[in-house]
Amino acid sequence: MPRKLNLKKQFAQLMDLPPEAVINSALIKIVGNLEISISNHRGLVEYTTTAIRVASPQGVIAVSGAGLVIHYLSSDEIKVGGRITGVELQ
Amino acid sequence: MAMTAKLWTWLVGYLVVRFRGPYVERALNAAAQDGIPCWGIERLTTDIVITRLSVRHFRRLRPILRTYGVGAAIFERQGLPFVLNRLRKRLFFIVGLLVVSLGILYLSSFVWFIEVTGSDRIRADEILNAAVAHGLFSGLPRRALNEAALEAALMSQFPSLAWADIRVEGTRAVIEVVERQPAEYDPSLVGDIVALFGGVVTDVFVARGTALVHPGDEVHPGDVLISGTYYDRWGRKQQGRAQGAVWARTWRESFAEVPLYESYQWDTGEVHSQMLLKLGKYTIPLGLNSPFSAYRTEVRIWQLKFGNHELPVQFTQRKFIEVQYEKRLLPRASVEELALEEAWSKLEEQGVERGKVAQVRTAAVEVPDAEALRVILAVLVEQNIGEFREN
Repeated sequence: MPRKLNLKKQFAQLMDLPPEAVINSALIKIVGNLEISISNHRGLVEYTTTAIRVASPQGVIAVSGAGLVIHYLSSDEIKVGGRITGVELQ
Repeated sequence: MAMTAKLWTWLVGYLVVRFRGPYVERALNAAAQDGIPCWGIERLTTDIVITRLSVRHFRRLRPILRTYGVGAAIFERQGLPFVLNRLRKRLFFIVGLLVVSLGILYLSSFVWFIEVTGSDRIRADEILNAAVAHGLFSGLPRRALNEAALEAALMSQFPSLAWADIRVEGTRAVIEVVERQPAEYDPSLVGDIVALFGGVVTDVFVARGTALVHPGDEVHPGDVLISGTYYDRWGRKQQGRAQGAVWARTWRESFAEVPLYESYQWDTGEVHSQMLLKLGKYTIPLGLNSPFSAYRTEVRIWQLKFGNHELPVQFTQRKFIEVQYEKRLLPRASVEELALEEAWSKLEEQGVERGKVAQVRTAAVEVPDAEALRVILAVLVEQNIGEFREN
């Protein structure tokens, strides 16, 4: 498995492809402290107004902040809004 | 969500749903995995989450909710299907509104009112009748109106018109005319000067023609005073236009009647109002007519307008105010004075000057049936009694 992953990674680098498309990894986009969008997620683990935890192939992504709302939730994307104070890979 | 996505969810309709339970996150995950996207997710309390999802997905959500023991309640229904549903309950109202709007639009394409402006010696209703005879009538489709042809027809029917213009303002056609100024003194006419009033001739002045009367003669109305027939200096008989003046002492008469009683009205306090709806040339009364035998009316009109265009819809309120009449006897002297003054003003309108009157005779007669007083005024004046009459 790790060899296969390495192969894919090398292929992606060789072909100049976005790695998240080839190897199954999360893509996190943050707009200031207003919005965070996570692609390739594995599901919502916890949701409160101060903390949101999202499962990903690389582990749990923890978003902390205040007044957090989930703007959008689908099988491959989650968008969180509010006042974001921290993002952590656990 | 992007703008188009938002618009789409509004078009297909969406629900605002309240989820309650300890495993709400898991239920949302399962829904997302099942291809049911949710948006606008807000945490209210530790076990309540509000979310939005499209109507067609809600049914598919039920087994997932059951699996995770999440209770769901629909909070709000949003979007076009629900708006339409609400509107359907007012179907008759909307259809009615549509029908009325279309009706007004349709009625606006006709000429309903015709107005004549600018006429002076030609009566406005004569022009109106001519316009109707030439095809401009109330109810004519606006497109069918041929302004140029109608203008030409009016001009040929009324030679004294200098100019005619027809324009359509909304549902009203305005015929604007300008009349020719009457011809001034026309020496080419042939005719005599005749007596307008009877009397005794005091002076004759002939500029052209032959005098047939002399001072001291008594003349009657219509008598020829100066004939247009004359002999020129070579003795040839000529026909022309008589010119000159004939002064005579003449009795001018007029009379006036003034009622001996003054009738006045007072309101009884009873009022009845009626609404009228005018659609084009049809008037539909909404309510009963006056229940009173004697009344005065106050009318208020609401004209529906679209911009500056008058639409063929008019609301009229008629207020009937019951009145009663009473009579009051007036002092005879003041009635007589009033009648005399009226008689005088009638004479003055005919050109008699009050200060140049030689003799005045008055007589007062009671008119029994009319309960009025008639004053006859006769004044002796010296004036030019000649008037040109074309042969």
